[in-house]
Order: sequence, then C-alpha cells, then structure tokens
Amino acid sequence: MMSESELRWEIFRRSLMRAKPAMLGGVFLILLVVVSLSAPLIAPQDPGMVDVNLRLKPPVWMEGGSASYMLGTDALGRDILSRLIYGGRVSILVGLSSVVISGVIGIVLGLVSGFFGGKIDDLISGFSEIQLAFPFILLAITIMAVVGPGLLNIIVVLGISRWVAYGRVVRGQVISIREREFVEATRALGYPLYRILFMQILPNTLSPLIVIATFAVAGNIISESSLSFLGLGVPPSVVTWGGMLSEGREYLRGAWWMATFPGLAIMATVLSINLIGDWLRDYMDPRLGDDM
Amino acid sequence: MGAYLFRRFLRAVVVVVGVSFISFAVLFLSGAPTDTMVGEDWTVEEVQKLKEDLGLDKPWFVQYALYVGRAVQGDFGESLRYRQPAFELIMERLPATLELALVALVLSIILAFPVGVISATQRGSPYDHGGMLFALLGQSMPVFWLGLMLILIFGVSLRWLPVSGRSGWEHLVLPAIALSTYSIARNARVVRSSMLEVLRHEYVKTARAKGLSEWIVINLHVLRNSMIPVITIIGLEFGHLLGGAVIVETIFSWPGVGRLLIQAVYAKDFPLVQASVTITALIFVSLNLIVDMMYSVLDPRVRLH
Repeated sequence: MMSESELRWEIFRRSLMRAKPAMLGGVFLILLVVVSLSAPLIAPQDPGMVDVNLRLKPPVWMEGGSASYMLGTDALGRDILSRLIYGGRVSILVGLSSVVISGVIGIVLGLVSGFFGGKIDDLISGFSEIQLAFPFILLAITIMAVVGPGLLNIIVVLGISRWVAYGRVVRGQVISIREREFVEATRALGYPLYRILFMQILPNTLSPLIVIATFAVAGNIISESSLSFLGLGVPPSVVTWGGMLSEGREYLRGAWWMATFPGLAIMATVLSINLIGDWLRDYMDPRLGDDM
Repeated sequence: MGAYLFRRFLRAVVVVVGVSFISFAVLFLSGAPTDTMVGEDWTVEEVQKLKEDLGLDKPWFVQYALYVGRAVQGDFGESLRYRQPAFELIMERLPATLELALVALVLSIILAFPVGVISATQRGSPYDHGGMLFALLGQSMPVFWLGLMLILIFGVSLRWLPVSGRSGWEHLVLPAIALSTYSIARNARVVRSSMLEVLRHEYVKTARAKGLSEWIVINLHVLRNSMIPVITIIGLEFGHLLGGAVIVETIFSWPGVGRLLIQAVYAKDFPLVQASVTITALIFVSLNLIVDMMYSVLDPRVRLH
C-alpha cells in the first residue's frame, strides 16, 4: 500500500509524464541550470577575454568560422557561446530571487489585508491599485533611472514591482476561508494568530501561488533582459543576455549572430517556463482555465 | 448605478494622487536637479540662490504641494536638456505614441479573434495546434528581440521596409508588428479559452439539438457570451501597449513619448522623466476607469461588488 504522500507524488509524476510539452520545458530548464552552475568548467572560452584579432568571427558552419568559437565572436572578439553560458546565470538568479521577494511581500500583505480587513485592507488595496496604475515597465524604468544599474537593484525593483498578483490571490482566499469552521475552531482553541495564518490559511492558497510564481519567473527574465538591453538593468561588466543583445544591435548588418543567439536563449528559457506553467495550472486547478 | 460610478471615480482620484506622489518622489530622491544646471564657476551663494528660486530649500511636503499645484495647470517644469516645458515636449510626441499603440491594438483585435475562434471551434485540429503554437511563441519572445529580428529580416536582408523614423505608413509596419505580437498571442488564447468555456454550457447543446446550423450556434450563442472577459482585456490592452511602446519606440527610433522618456533617463533629465511617467500613468488610469464603466453597463453583476 502507498501512503497518501506517495500516492500524491505518483499522480503528479504520471500527469507530468503525459504532458510532453511540459516535460520538454523541464528538460531544457534542468539543462540550463546545470550548464549555468558549471559555467567555469564547461564554457569553452573565458567570457570576458578580449582579442581584437578574433573580432566578429561568424558561427562555425559559416565560412571563416572556427570550432573553438562555435557561435562566433562579438565586436571585441569574445566567444558568444561562453557568454551565453555565463549570461544564463544572471537570468536564473534574477528570475528566481525577484519572485521570492514579490512572493514574500505579496503573501504577507495579502494575509494581513484579508485577515484583518477594515482600514488596513483599504490601505493595502489602495496601495496595490496605485502601483497597478503604472504600466509595469514604466515603473521599473523610473526606479532604475534613480537607483542606477546593478544586479541587486534590479532584483529588488522587479521584486517590489510584482507583488500585487500574489497579494490579491492570498487576500481573496483568506476572505473566503477565514469564517470557515476549521479556522474558527483553531481560534476558539486559543492558537496564536501567526499559526492560524501560516499553518491553516496559507496552505490553502498554495496552488494558485505556485502557478503565478512560475509565470512570474518567465516575466522577470524578460523584464531583466529588457532593462539590461536599455542599459538600465545589470551593468555591462556582468554578462547578460539582454546586454549581449544591446551590443549586437550595433552590428545587425555585419554580424547577425551577435543579436540572434542571446534572443533565442531568452525565448527558449521563457517558453520552457511557460510550458511548465501551463501544465501546472491545469494540474493544480483545472477550473482556472487558461486566461489568467 | 450612479453610486457605483461615483465610488469608482473616487477610487480613480485616490489613485491619481498616489501616482503624483510616486512621481514626485522620483525627482525628490534623484537628488538636487541643480547639479546639472550649475556651471563650474558658480559660487556657493549663487547655487543657494538658484535652489531658493526653485523652492528646493523648502521641506518635502511643501515642495510636493507646489509640484501638484503646478502640475494641475499642466506645468511639469522645464526639461533640463531641451530647456522647454516638459508638458509641451510630451504633447508634441504623444500623437506618435497613440498612433503606434492604436494600430497595434487594431492589429491585435483583427488577428487574435479569428485565431482564437478557429482554435476553439476546431479544437485539436492542426489549425488549433498551429494557432496555439504561434501564441506560445509570441508570448515567450522578448519584444526588443522580435524588433531586432524584424529589422534584420525585412530591413537589412530583404530591404522591403524602412526600419527607423516616422513618415508614411511603411514606417509604421515593423514597429506595429513588433508591438502587437505579444498582445495577439495573449488575446488569441483568451478568446479561445473564453469560447471553450461557453461551448461547455447546456444551452449550446440545446441550440445544436434544435437543429440550428453551426454558424448560428457559434455566432449567436457562443461568441456573444464569450465577449465579456475579452472586452475587459482588450480595454486594458491599450495601456499595456503604451508601456510596451517604450521599448519598441527606442528600437525603431519612433519619435514618441517612450523614446523621449528613455532619452530623458539617459540624460538624467528628471523633470522630463517625471512628467512623461505621470502623464502616461494618467492616461492608463483614465482608460481603466472607462473600461470599468463600460463593463458595468455590459454586465450588471459587476456593480454589486
């Protein structure tokens, strides 16, 4: 006999096995994480190594290409493939850590807002509405313009720009279950508030939160690369896919590979995450449909 | 109805006050704007005099009140770079941005509907798979990369279309495609899932059982009822397109507010940054308000919330 948790795991596993696109996305992401983590070991070249004699070499399959520089070199003779491998680290780091920040802010404010209601709720809801009045990219550009480019800055800015989605879901769920018997019973027994919030209410909101967080990782990766492309994200001394694209923009005519490959890397990553997100949404809650 | 609209309007006012506060904070936190105005040969007294003239020696809440007082009269201060009122600079460029966003919106509606409707009515067919594959790719592509690829293919290789500036419709083609792709992809999925939702209902089965033709079932019963979520999303879409225009305008050198904003950011021209962000946010808030009002007319249940 399987225990309940084993059974759940089995259902999860079988559902995933059936979902081929999500599997494909998963495999790509695992590969990406492994490659990024072991970047110093597997990158064929030093990503920062400048050699003007090697500048603007085309990919290996074109005339003049070389097997040591599979995807060609940029205007400073740096290896595109190695830079792609290193750039993946930034995307993953920013994508995940900013989701953690917005998740924590959103969950805490949503719990407080939904559980206490009244003035606090009005205040938090009002604040989220003001934040939503700015198109997201505008808000991020504005803040980055003031604080300046930087890895930590971009993580924090993306983190605080996207908490509202989590806050709203948690608040809605809290309101719908705070009057239910099992919550009332725990209150009557005199359990401390944080226990009720975190042990009883939060687990009930987990499924939609996981789905939102998955899509948010993809959204953050695109936002980071957009801001880095504009020169407002991560400083140029750090290799990023957005930064590579921005350099490639100047050489579109002569060296198409400079701008093409980083974009493909972003697209493949975001697509993989979205495929997993689509599947997770159906798996977690088939009623959610696909129009979130 | 009146009470609902009034409450909704009040909320929009609160939001506008919040927006003004945040955009004020941007300038306030960016440090003294006098730094870029002061010449190297200025004395301490002269700098102090300039700060007093601009009201920068006063506490922040007085400065905020002065800022709001001027802003409601359309005075957002002077651009440090252009030495012109920021409001004028933005109004000059607003038509270009609105034109781009509007064309993208129209493209999005014209293309997303057929793709979504065909995908839903022929679920599982090659059309459905093709449409949804396009939608997935469209949602995963960063807009600036799509823009560069369009330039590379249609501008550099094929030489079919111009890739920068604004004069004549052919300049509009590539930026509008770049800006609308994400929106087409997303709306196609929304239309599809919204229709699938309605197709599940009993009354659709009834209509079919009555022997009505599939054309009538789809047009009369399904399409109409799946429009409400679609209308809301399309209303809000325009606002998102205004945000996306910032990047597309930069790539295609489209002379709109987005490009002005990015150039102002590079030049540390904070009064201009502040003014463009505030005005874009105001347009966004007004659009949301209009959409909500239309929505409450279309679907009376909304007013109860």
